[in-house]
Amino acid sequence: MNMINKAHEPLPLADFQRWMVSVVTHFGTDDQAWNSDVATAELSHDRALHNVLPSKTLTEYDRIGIYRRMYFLRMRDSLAVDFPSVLHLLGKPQFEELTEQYFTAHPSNSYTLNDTGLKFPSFVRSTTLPDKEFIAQLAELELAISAVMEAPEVPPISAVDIAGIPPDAWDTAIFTAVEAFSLHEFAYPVHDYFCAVEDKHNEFPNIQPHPNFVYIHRSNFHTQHYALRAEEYRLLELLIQGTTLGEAFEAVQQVFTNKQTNLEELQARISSRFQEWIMNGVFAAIRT
Amino acid sequence: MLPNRWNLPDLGFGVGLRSVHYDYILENFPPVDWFEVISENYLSQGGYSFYALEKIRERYPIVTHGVSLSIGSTDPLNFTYLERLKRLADLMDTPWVSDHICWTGVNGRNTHDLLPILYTEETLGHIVKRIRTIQDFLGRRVVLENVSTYVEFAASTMPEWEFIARMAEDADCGLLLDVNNVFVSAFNHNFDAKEFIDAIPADRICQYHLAGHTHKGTHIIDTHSDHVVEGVWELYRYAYSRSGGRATLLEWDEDIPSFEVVHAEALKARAYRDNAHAEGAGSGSAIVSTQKSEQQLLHAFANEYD
Ligand SMILES: [Fe+2]
Repeated sequence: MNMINKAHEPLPLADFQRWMVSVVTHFGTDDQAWNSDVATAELSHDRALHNVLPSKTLTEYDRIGIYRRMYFLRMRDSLAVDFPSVLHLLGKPQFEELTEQYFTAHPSNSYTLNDTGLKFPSFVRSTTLPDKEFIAQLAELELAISAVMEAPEVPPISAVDIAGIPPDAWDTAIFTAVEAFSLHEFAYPVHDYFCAVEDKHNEFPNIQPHPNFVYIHRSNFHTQHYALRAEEYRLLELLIQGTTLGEAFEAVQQVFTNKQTNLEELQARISSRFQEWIMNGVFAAIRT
Repeated sequence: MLPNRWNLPDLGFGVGLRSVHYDYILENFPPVDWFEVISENYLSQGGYSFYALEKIRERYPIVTHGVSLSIGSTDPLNFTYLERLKRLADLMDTPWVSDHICWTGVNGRNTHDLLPILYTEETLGHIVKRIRTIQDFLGRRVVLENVSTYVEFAASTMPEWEFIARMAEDADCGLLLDVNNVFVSAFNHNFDAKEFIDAIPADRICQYHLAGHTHKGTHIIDTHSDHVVEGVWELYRYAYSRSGGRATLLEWDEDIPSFEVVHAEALKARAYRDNAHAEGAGSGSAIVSTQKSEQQLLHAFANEYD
């Protein structure tokens, strides 16, 4: 042990731990971290300096600084994994600044790093960032995709089950979605943005209000996200809320049939989309 | 050479399971003796990770290794976490449950780091009580690992190795001796790594860890980002000559190469183990030479850290 020129002085364990965490999680300079009100409330600067031993090559600040630097990198990487599109939009310097502000306001209190980003969208809304609503919704989309990835696996209804449904029973059929599924309506084109980050052939949208409807679904452990038209979104929403297929079709037709869209076209489109959902394994059960 | 006091199995040479290798393992089922898994990655029991783990479990022994037990924290034990850990340990039928001799945060705040212990009587009493509670709760042997540290404290009243030895005896727990962590801390704090190993009760060692690190000149960071260095292999051989047959595992967490490379690194341990046996039997102690490490590939994290 390097008991370099420092006499032993007893230190209560809880005081030491609260001091250490306050310094390690402070995002300012070493000086600011050691002298912050929270840190000095536990141990005065001199008392803390006495307790930390230097090595032959590193000062007291350097040694605690290793933990401070690693804390920042770990938290930043944790958010970057959760929110790659937000990182893309903001760029690294601004993303890092936001990381510091976020974890200062919402330090992790979970045993898993998977939870560290859960309050990020609401935090973004509380900032003065330009385009904060767009960024918050983009972050919500990214969280939703992660949630579907981690959802429990539930088998979808099989082709045999579907084939067994008598033709006249479809009208009153009620559907339940698999667990690895979610449906979203965004006021901004955040799904278009997400797709552009994912695939460079897609164009980046303007950051202006423009609705995006999306469903996220995992099948055979492959998570996919699909853009929906407004009427498709409404149909799927009604179905997973427990409306019968006949009533859901009826409701969608009433709202979405207008001069631009004739009824037959609409019926053809939503019917083919509905079949696609069945084939993709969106539903876990059908009650007839 | 002393047998492991609980006759826990010597599982052979294992590899830390990492998600980048799931597909390779599920397609090839390589001849690995066992896998260690980071408990926290599977506690929710959902998604592809858990599916892959269940498939792998059908063919290999699994040991759960946690990072969030926070055994040294003054916060109350988190029984929600412990319940999930117990469920996973039962499902995997892990021969022991391991974590680290450290704390990760206080006042409900988690730094997600393995923070250094204050080596005092107060800490010792606190940790021993908690280990006993956890061991009873989980119904399995708790095995705790020495961590790499970058700082020491004037308030500590005993060296790390004395603390660990007393903790293990008083709590009646097992030890996971990470020889890379001994090497890293010995360099950072200028102590003799062999003195550390000599102080550890060999019959309580249930497992070894091996890993690479990043040498920054003034200090060493435990990055698990490279091949194991010669000095760590030598320490492994030395520790092994005292303890004999114990499960040995290679950790690789940054700049992770192909599964074959990681597995080959783990299997290098066999040569050192054979050598240690030979030494234990009194037939000489020549160090078996190993492949030269490939060009070091530093991950962004190791590069960025300065
Ligand atoms: Fe380790």
